Amino acid sequence: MKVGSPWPTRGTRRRPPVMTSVAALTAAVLLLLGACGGGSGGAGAGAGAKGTDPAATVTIGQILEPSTLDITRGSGVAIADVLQNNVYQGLLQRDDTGTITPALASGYQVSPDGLTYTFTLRPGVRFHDGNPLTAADVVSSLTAVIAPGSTNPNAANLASLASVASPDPGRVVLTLRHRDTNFTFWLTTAAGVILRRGATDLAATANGTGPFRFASWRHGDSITLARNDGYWGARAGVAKVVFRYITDPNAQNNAVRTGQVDIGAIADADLINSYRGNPDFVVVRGTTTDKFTLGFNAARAPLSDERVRHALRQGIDKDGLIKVLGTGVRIGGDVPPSDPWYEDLTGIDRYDPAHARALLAQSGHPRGLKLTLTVPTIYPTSIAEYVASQLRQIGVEVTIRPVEFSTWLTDVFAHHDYDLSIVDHVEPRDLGNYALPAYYWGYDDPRTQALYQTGVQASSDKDRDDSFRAVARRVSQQAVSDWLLLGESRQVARSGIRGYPANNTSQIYDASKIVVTRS
Amino acid sequence: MALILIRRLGLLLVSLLVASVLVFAALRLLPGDVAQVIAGTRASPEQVDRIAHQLGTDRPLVIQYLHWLGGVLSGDVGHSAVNGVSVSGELGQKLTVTGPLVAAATLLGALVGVSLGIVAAARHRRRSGIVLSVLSQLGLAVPSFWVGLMATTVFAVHWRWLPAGGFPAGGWNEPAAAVRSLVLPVLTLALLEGAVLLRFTRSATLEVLHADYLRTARAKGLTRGRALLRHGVRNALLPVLSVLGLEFASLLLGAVVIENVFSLPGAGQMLVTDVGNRDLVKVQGTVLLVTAVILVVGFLVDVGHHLLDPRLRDAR
Repeated sequence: MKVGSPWPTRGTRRRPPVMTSVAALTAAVLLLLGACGGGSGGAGAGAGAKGTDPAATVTIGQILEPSTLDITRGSGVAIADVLQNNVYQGLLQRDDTGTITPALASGYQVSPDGLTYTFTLRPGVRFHDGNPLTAADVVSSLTAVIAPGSTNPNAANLASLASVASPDPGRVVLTLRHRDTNFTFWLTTAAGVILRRGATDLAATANGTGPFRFASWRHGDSITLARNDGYWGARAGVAKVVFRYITDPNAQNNAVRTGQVDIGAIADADLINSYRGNPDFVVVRGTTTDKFTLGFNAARAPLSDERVRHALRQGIDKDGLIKVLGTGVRIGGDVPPSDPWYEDLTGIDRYDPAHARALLAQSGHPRGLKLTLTVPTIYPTSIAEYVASQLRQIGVEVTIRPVEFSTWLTDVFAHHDYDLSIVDHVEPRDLGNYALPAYYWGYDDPRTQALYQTGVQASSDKDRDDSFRAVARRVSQQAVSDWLLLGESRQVARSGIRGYPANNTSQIYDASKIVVTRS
Repeated sequence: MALILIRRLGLLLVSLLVASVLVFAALRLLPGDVAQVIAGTRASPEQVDRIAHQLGTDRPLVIQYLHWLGGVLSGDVGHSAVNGVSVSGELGQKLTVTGPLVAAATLLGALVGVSLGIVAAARHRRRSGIVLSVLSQLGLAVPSFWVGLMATTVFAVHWRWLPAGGFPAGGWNEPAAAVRSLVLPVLTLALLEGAVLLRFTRSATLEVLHADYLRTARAKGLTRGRALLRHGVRNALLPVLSVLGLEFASLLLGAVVIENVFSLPGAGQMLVTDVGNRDLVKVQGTVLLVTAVILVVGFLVDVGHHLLDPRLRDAR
């Protein structure tokens, strides 16, 4: 789970009053609170076609800029979005539809007990600095993630990995503590990238094996990647890719309109609609795993009462919210339709305000309730306001408490000090959060935890899917959270550009297949 | 004069020291924790603690402050906790955008605001004076982000005369492109600045308009306009100069909004991001440097007063 809203907030700050003292100046600076978000959309096509310009530069408008280039240290999705698959690669990689393919490994074998993965390294791979990729690089990269004292923010992805060894220079053996049905998927995340052993200064530079070399980073503006002509695979279709970071939605829209960016991330429904019927642009829609989750603090009254949680869920008309925002897909649980174990759970806790009021009365709150909703300022205020106004109609008085995301991390995520919270859980395959008793929603259910472990350690895909499906259903039936909507990815691209990803464009933006048609 | 300079300089240093304490303390009141921001939501509480330990944010505040102050005194204002870049290096880079933006807007605003303010005062009973006065009110009332949005829509998106935002990749190595990208932001910021100064100049000039020394000057044969220019304006400019010094501080803050509207990679935008990340060492370093600049500007304004006003010079 992570930050990343497809709708950045609009800056509406008035001119500050004339400041005289140092204290007033300091206070004013402290008042300038950060705001932004990440998200996008996209469509794909083939690369390397005739009539394309291999010397072209493509500029991609994104919203959320990474705060560091160090993929082993920074937690934001924005780092992997620009660097993964483009600059850094893992043994395996996944595309925007979630299909996993070999990358730095040419193939792998799994032992029958599912505990040993033997990867064959792809020969002839070189890092951008010219050094050949060796088994020692793989061992050191993955060992660093799982080592005791590791500060890799994604270390939890490789929690099942016990050890990494290399029996001979061409192979690497990964030994697991227990079966992990998602293991190959986790290897395609930021936790699985392979760095040159002994690499330093990862925050300022990036030495990978991918189709692009890191060229430059202008803080607050853009990151430029240049084609790696010594790439082991199909060479990238353009010479340069510039990721330009524009937080203001109107500025992003203007950049698309005036050709400053070739592809822009535009979430606002009205802005998107203004491109309809314009032959110069293509509007690209895609899916995401952005689950806008209304979290309940089940560890304390009154939300520890399951009936109250059901009442809140039944009191919110999710279709109405999607209509207000002009975007989003209804989901009834934590699993998006793109996962194999998806099941339509929208029938659970259907919108029924009368029943919601009755449930509140039954649970000892005939005169309603007072609750606080803590919500990061990176999301459009309309979401929290909608939820509050819906809940008011079933007698729940909601006080909205807007906070910066950093404050949310401390107050809600770390200290569990909240009643209700809205956060966009961006990360894929995060159903396991409901099996963590220490997680911020205070949900400790041994049955759910056991079911989830059964799914993780299943010996067949069918068993895995059955178990995960059961977890998602159970969590929804117990109204652990409410899932307001699944975000959609939206991009506007200049006609004549093809090959860009359409889905999950704020997670991994693979630019290697982008081509520009010669005009 | 030299004594005054030395005294003012001493005051400047004391102010900076006080500022460093205030900045440091005030930032520590913010909720949130940079280690948690770096670690994100997949990391365990133990990982967060380890990161805090690496960064030194788990040490007592007094130690952290003294450590930072020691660095400042030896010329190192600090490094980002998030990505390790040096504060002065990055701020220097950002000021190549924000500096020209604020300087040009101040200059343009002062030029237009002060001269029109004098005109508005001299003609305060005539139609042109009233129109100027109303326009300045309007300039104050309209939010700058809205002006910026409208200007972009008209001049950049519709007519394509100027870029819609951003700064050229080569920075000032592409002088023409850099200047073009700053035209709309400067005009937007200068509009507000000009409106403020117009109002101040107008009222300051109106006050001196009926002063005895002006009547004397006219009695000696000067025309009304000449008397105003030679004797009135100099007196009227004293309060305006003070306002200009204060306005400089608020312009830096106004630049935050403008940089966002025009997606300029400037210091204001950087500060907003750093506060959001709770990169406190970077924020306090930046704020201290900006405070130093503002205090120096205040110092120069004082010196300017002494040059303009012989009474202050003699009074020591």
